[in-house]
Amino acid sequence: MATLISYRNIMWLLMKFILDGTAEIVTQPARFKILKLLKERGPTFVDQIAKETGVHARMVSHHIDVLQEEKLVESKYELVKVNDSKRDVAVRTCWITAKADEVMKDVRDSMR
Amino acid sequence: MSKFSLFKELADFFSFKARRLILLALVVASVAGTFYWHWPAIARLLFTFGYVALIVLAIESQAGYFVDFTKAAVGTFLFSRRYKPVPLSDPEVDALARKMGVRGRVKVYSTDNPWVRGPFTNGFTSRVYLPLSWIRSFPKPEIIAVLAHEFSHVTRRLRFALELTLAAAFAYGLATFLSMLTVTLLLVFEVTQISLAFLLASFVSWRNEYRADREGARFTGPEGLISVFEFWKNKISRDDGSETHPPLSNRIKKLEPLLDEPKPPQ
Repeated sequence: MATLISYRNIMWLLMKFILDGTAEIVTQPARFKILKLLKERGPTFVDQIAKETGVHARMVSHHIDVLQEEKLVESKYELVKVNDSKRDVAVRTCWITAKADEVMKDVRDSMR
Repeated sequence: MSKFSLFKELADFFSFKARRLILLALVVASVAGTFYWHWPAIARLLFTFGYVALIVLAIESQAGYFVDFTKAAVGTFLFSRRYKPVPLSDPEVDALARKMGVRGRVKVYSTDNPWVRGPFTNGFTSRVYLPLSWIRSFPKPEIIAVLAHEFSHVTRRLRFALELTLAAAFAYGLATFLSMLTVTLLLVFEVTQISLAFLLASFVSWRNEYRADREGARFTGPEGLISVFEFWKNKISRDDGSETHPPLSNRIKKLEPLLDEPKPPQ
């Protein structure tokens, strides 16, 4: 009985992101691509993400907004030098949260 | 394997393009068939076999879609008491409806009826239904984009009805014209009318969907709809559209140029 309960708990933990809809948000192909890139590359700004993933910059912004709402990504505006520009350019830098790591692992496990 | 699954698999075998080609072949054969009585006996015999075979093929290829459509419509109607739709009240939705010129009180409902698999608009009552599963799994900006698409169906429903009526009238008109040229078999007359009406209705419906996408994107931006279409495109096995809806990849392609236009004011 105890084994059954603990198995249920593990399954519940594994499935919780699928049940609360977060997994559905992550499985949108472009969003998954963006999350994967952010996981590999660390903090990256929107235009860089657009260039690397082939997703339109406006779509990237939309997906980042959605992911931020779900607390899977955090972002902030900062000034950086882009392509040897003389002036600093304001960019939106994004990075993934610990929750995103968990959800991506959950999604991968459920796909196996 | 049950008889029904064999039938369904056979119906699923035809892509939308193939289904449309079969109907087109039927219309062309019908125009030729108008002059049936002027042909020699052997040609008449061969035509009859070929024509009947084409009709059977057309019925078989169209059946899959109509069986699914009827099942969904009957299921939605039969279970409407058990899964009573709940009004969806949201200031953002109301504001969008006002902006899009939806007259009167906005009537958006959410339902957990398992037969309602996607959002749809009842053209007669102007009510928009959203499955609860969609509200749970899509983020709010995407739900708003989907609703903008549906509201466009509400505002343009009279135009759509007029276009459908014109399509049906044209099909009937062509069949009547052909029957005036010579003595036409009743079968040929009916088949011409029905197959042409199906073809034109599908054309009108696709146009209506593209228009609703464009209209919705004008108010909410194309991002939400593109994202939803990409999600479903990734989930379905074959993206070749249906009698009522164009392929998702085409809809995405038509929305993508709007990404380079200025964002609509929120």
